[in-house]
Amino acid sequence: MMNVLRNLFFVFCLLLGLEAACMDALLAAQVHLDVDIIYASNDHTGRDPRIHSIGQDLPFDSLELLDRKQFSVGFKDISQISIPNGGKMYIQPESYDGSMIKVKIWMEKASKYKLNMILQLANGGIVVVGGPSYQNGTILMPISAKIR
Amino acid sequence: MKFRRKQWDRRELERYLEDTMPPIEGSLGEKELEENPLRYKTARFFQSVRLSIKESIDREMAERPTQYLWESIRADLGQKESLVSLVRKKVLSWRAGLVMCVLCLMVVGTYNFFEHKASVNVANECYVEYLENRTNHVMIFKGTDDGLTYIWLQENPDPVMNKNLEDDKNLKPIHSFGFHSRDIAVVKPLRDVDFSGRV
Repeated sequence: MMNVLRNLFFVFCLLLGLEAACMDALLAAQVHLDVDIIYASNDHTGRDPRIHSIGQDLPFDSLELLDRKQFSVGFKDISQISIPNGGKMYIQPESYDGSMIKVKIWMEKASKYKLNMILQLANGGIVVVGGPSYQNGTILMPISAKIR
Repeated sequence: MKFRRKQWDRRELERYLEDTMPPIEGSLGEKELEENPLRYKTARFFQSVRLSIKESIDREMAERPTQYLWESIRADLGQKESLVSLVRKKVLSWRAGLVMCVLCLMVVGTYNFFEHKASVNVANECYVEYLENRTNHVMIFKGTDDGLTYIWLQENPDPVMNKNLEDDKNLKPIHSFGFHSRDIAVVKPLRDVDFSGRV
């Protein structure tokens, strides 16, 4: 009987350890944010070879990578990104349900615009926020979030 | 993992036994015992109790081969004839069964965890849960080529560019709203949304 109890205790401890390790991994998770700042226009200058996140769907013949921002942040941490046209964008990972990362994004530029949104993004997926005007074209910002 | 028995100190145990149960029969003289049969009977009884306790302690202290977990399971299974007969007779050891179930659950759980993790990494799925903008026209597109979701704030005053965007065959409009339309750009209203936090 003691042997049985010992065996059971061993298996229980093993499971407990496994469970604790998984929970620890989830709780200590960092969200890796990748934000490209791209200038899109029809200036016929071609496509920057460093741009991999966007396909050929957009009606712009020129895409130039202006900046690439990378952050490793915890949930509820706010990352700030300066947009070349003077605006600001803020990204705040909210939660992770095992497949989708909930991200709060807001973007503003003085009195010109103020856009607030909450997105659910697949782990490692990309969403493109675009539209702010810049020079002869517009700014595109592919945002990727991935759990580390 | 090896389960080892606790090594008791034999002397310590014997001392304990002597202290708690002194050998009554030794303290009684032959004469006393002959004169009082009842006392003799009581003494014999306590002696037998003492001996039985001592035997059980000796038995526990006797050297036994240590067993690994798998050895104990195997021994447990080995006592029976075969797995089929065990199932038929419904005498399969609950211990072995339980360990097998736990192992199966662990394997399936681990597989599911990694499968799940691997499958979500490739998708570019994106749901707009909430969107609020009161100053500009905002459109949500889905790219037919790259499958990306585009959230487009129409700040650009160039009407041709905006028209191109709206007419683009590769962009499938999902939602369009702005101050022109009646809805105030809220896909899924959430009352508790707080965008007041700033860096």
